[in-house]
Amino acid sequence: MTPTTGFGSEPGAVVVAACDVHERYSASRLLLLPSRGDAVELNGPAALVWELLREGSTVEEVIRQVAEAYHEDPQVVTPLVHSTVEQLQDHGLVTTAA
Amino acid sequence: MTLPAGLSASFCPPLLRSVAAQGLAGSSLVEWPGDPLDDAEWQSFTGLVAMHRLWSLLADATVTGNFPATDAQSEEIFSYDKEAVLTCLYLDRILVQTHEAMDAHGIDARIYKGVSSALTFYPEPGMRTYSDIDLMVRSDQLDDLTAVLTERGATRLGPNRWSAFQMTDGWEIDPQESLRDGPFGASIPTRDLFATRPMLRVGGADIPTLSDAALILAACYHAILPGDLRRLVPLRDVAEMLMSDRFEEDVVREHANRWQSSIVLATAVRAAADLFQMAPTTPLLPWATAYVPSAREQRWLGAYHDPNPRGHVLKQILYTTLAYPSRRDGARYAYGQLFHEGHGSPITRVRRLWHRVDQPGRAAR
Repeated sequence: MTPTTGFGSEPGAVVVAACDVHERYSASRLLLLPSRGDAVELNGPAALVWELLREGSTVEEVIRQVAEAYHEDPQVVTPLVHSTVEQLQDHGLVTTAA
Repeated sequence: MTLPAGLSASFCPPLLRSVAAQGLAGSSLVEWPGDPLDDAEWQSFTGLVAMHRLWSLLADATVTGNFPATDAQSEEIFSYDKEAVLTCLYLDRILVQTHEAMDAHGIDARIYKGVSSALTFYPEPGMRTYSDIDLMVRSDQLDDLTAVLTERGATRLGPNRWSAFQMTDGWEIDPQESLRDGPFGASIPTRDLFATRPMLRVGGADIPTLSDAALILAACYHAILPGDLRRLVPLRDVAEMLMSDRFEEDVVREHANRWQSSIVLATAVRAAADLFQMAPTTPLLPWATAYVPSAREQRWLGAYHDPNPRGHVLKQILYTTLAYPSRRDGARYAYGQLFHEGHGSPITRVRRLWHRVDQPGRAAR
């Protein structure tokens, strides 16, 4: 499992979810609004990634739990999780701490 | 005690009632169509859904398969639902920013209604959408609040010092000094509303809100007393609160009794149970069904529902003056109604009150 550059690529790096985020489900999609900037819409698996990060899970734990939830191999969901974290990072919803 | 006109279940089409009851524990209402609505039915139905702000409950009904919809109808539903939920998120963000500014100026306000109901009582807050921010603030801090909001670019929407404010991006903040105008609002001691300071977690910030009992009674006032014909959401609030694990029957009844509004609580509970076909064992319903209001309670409630708007205004002023726990406050209220600064002579003022029949819900403010 190779972490994507930009988060978790450094040994021991941790992805931290911002705490000042407004979130609410709209039908089956999760809408997030950071304290500054525009809203972000997440679908099922991406919403799960956000919820797990917000609960303090590491990226590795997120990959494992998303794989379990969707009955997939961790290698299959790894790109999706990384892509989601990058998107969240771009919107200031998560930060990477060394 | 019969339900006032307009509050029995018959005022609402069965399908709209089912939408309003979507996901409500304790409701046996399951009147869904077998097939998607045709174009004419759809247009009529969505007009009502929009008016009553039920897009999110309709979206949930569509996702769960209760409401059959064509692809185009689903797309429309989800689009409006998303818009309604996004509105709530932006309002929450403004609320947090406003709270920080109020806190810095020592303003002790409480949020209630929309955001408080959604985050406190609903299993999924997205099911309860709202379109403004309701703030309870003491009368002697209204000027400070006005200064804070004005500094942030807000403009007051009316001439009344308690008029709502519009923020620069269009969202509204509605300051209130009680849960309701008229005698039922006047009879609530302000110290009761500010006696506790429970916190609501909004976007990572702790925002003070009203007590659970006050939130429940606020929903009852909103649902039962005229001023807004969109009663489905507040009645859903009442039903949701009754079914909540947090609901404490004795505490709510004690508050209602102290605030002389047991008739409002009983009527709201009965109306919600009737509308959503809730079981007879629903908390408070046996009490509400057996409740016998006093003559004064009936007079007060009757004043809100008086079909004669002029009678409504004058009765409200009289009853409100007498309802204040403090005679000084009652006298100040009456004086304000008759000698309001900048509103002409007392005679002009009385004439204006007499003719102010288009907005009876605001008349006693």
